[in-house]
Amino acid sequence: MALENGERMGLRDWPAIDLRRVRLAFSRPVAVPLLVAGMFSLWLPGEPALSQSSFVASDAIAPATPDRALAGRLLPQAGSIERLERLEDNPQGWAAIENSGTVGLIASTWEIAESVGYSGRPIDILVGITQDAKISGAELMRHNEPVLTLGISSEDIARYVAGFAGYDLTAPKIEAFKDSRALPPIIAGATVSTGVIRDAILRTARTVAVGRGLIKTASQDIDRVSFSEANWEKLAGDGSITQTAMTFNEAGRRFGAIAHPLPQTDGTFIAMAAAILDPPTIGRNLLGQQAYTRAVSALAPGDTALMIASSGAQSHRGTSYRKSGIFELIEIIQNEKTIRLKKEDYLRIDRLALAGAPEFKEISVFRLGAETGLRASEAFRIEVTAEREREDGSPATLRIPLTYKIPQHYINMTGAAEAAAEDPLWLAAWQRKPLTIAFTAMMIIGVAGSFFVQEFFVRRPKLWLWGRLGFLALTVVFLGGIAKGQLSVVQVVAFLHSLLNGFRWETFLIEPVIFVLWGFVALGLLFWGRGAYCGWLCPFGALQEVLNEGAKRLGVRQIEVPFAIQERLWAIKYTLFVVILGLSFYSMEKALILAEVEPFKTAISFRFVREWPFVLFAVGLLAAGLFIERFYCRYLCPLGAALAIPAKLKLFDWLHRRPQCGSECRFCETQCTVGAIDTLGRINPNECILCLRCQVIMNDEAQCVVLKRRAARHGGASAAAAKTPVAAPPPM
Amino acid sequence: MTMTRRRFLVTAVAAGSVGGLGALIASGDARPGFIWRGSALGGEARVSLYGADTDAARSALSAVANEIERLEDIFSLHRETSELRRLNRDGHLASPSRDLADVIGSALRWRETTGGAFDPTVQPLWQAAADGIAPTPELVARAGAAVAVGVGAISIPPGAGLTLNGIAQGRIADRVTEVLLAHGFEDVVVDAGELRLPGKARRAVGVPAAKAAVSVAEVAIATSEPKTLVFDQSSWRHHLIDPRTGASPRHWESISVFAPTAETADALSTAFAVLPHEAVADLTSTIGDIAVIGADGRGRVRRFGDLSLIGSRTATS
Repeated sequence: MALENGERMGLRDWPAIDLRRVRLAFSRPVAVPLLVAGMFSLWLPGEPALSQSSFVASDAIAPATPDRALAGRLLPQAGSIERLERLEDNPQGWAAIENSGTVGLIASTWEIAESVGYSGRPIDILVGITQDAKISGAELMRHNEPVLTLGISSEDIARYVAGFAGYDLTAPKIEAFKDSRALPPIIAGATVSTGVIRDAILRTARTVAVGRGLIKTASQDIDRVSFSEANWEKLAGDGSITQTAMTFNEAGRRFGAIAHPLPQTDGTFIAMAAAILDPPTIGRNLLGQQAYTRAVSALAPGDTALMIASSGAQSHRGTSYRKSGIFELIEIIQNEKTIRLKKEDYLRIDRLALAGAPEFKEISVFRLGAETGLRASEAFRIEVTAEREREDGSPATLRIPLTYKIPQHYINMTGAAEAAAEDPLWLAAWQRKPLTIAFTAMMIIGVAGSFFVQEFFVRRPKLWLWGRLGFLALTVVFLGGIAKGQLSVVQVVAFLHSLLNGFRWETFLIEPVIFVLWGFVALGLLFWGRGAYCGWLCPFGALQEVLNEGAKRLGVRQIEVPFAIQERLWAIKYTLFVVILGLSFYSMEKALILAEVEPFKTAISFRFVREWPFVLFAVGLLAAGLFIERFYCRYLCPLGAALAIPAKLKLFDWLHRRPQCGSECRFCETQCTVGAIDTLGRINPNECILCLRCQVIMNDEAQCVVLKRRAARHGGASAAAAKTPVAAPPPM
Repeated sequence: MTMTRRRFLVTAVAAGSVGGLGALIASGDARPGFIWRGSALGGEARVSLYGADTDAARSALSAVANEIERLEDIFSLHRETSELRRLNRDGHLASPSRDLADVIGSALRWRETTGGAFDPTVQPLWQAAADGIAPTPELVARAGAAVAVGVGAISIPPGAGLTLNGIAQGRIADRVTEVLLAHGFEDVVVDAGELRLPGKARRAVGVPAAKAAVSVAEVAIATSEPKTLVFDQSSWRHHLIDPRTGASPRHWESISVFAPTAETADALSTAFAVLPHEAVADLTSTIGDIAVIGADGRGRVRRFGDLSLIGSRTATS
């Protein structure tokens, strides 16, 4: 039952990478050198994809595609969706079409937001968005989050994802990870994965809603920079220039009875063209460099230049503007705004420079100042009024409207870009618990600091003893209990996989405490070996040591493992690590199950609230630790093994030995909590947890045989020797 | 302002009209396809589209809402910042919108044509009536003030005030119709206080004066009724004030004018409401291209003008 359950049981938010896709031959002994290199080369860029068929780089993963049934679930308010239309322009997605009208949009979080889970692999959720900018549904299509496969039931996660339906995207933004009644609550125990999902859904929906104009943002701005050569045909064809025309017959009909009837011909009463000149592709092409520069040089930020050109009997300018200062015949109307054009904002152009442009009688460029409130990126209409006199002298008027909407490709979707470029999720994760992160960092500084003032420290046995016990208690309570800062071999595996798949800082930055600890481990390995972490900052290790200390004080007899056996038992953890790593290349899921030999999740993440076999295992390990100090660390810990391998490269060797150690005296050997000192007195850095006990002993005249002898030689009295708690040093 | 909430029964429209202010209702296959309801110049406004698809209707109706909003910013007496309010406050308005200049210009021509029965400068009298002040010769003199609609500016003499409530609703209906035409909708019913039916399809429209529905197409209809807004129940002083006397005459219980544009219909229905039936008959024939149905104080229904505008079939109740 236990193992079957293993599928469901929670590895928490530890990265998992589905490498069933990866067919990289990993039987060759590349793992170890790679691991070693990996630990020291965080800055190495990820390896490029090897080939599309055998190795799927994250970029090559196609977004999930909705079918009609799925679209119906994502857009429940739509009656019957006739078809889905793929939208290839930015932001991509699908439009659900019903009765020839769009009833909603569907977008993939992987495609839009490049949502990557804590596993470093895509999370793809299809999100349905209604025309009034509400999320109408969401479905999880792809993920490799271990916590979701092993920890939380798929119903829970489906409910969580579906819970976003109804969220109004126009509502003020809710901070990442923050609970809100408008959103489904983040699932406890899977904060990171569910936070990533929420971020992906909201980010995607917002990007699409802004990009597709469901939410109006004032930040849409016209591209005033790019230029490409174009002729009249092209500009008129793509809507950069809009045109309208009216014949005399049409105008005559609309005027009705007027004093001087218009000629009854199909000749041009008025032909009009209009364009916003701000984009150089329109303005420079139309006017030519010189006139364009003249036209736009008068523009202040927020101003827009509008060209109106006309030919035919009817003028768009009229004549009264010379006197009155405003152009009587033209009005610019946008939504509820009416804008009148003033003489001082007018520039006369005699000829268009653009190849293929028709002849115009009048060409005017108008400056539309920011104060007019015209939003150049949105549609507006230009209305030219023609006036004729009726028989009775009253005016008959005729309006010639011309609607202009600048083509989408001239618009910088700063709104959409903003939605996408808003703070990345990892930043929110870091901002969420600044105190926890700061305190973790302080603990790290504390550890590093004690090594730097090691001599001072180890000469004070009491300070060392209580300082160490206090620190370990802090590690258990704070790092383990509060910050959940328990590293795992799974992260080592994920890191190695990320080097192959394309390393992304973001993946690892999502859990700040873990990131900070790993940062220290990388540096600590380089300086002192793995002990700096294992001996001081590992919550489970600290828990074992604190419990063992208590047991010893209660008089529990310790089992001494002969060194020969001890040495052979070490092999277990290395074996475990290599097997987990190797297995991960075959099946990440299986590797994750094997990684359950780590009792960390049970003891630290779940605080022993878990299925009984796991609890039994963890408690059993702790119980064994009462008799053999750090039983788990010594023989089983695959994380320790993973860290021990590069520890060979450590730069400093700050653990001092005396020439007599191991030959004249083997006291330290018996005192080493993890049995890292061999019979020759050498400290094995792979096993050493840097507890500094041997250093304390070495400096303690009451304990170190060499010092005692020296004291005896100088002082004559050998009383100190009697105090030695263990059997006399072996004969020389 | 006149609360001209004409009790039109637009049978075709009534079929699908549910929902709140400004709500867009898709009523399935039943016609009309889409109805937008909102308000224009304090009265109800309603636009009904026939045979439209969702996206097109949505964008057209949102353009309609924008257009009404824009025109309110010009004509409303309720908005501090409207062009008309600024003109009344300052006595002068530089670079007015075309709509304001055009409507004031046409209002002044109707003042001339109707011999002062319609007059936009009636505002001081109207305000007095609303405040319960009896019309004084001084107030009556203020009506009929000279309004200068010049090139690029409009000005009125001190003490004078303009109201366009007897004409602007018609202008709004006409403008909204134009917006809909630009969006490709011809078969529509626009009700912005005054009705406009630009489509060729005949629709039944209830006429209160006739207590009957008429079948019409390509026409605008405006109705004036004293009972819409009565300031004083005992004296029956109501909102339709004769600018020449300051009185609220009771020639008509209800009078509807049918004209090619809603602006014309609106102005004339306002003018005719304060004129006796003989004067209405004379004006109708000189103006031409209009029709009138009115019910006088004794309940007698009178019809004048080009009755083809009212439609061949005249249903009776």
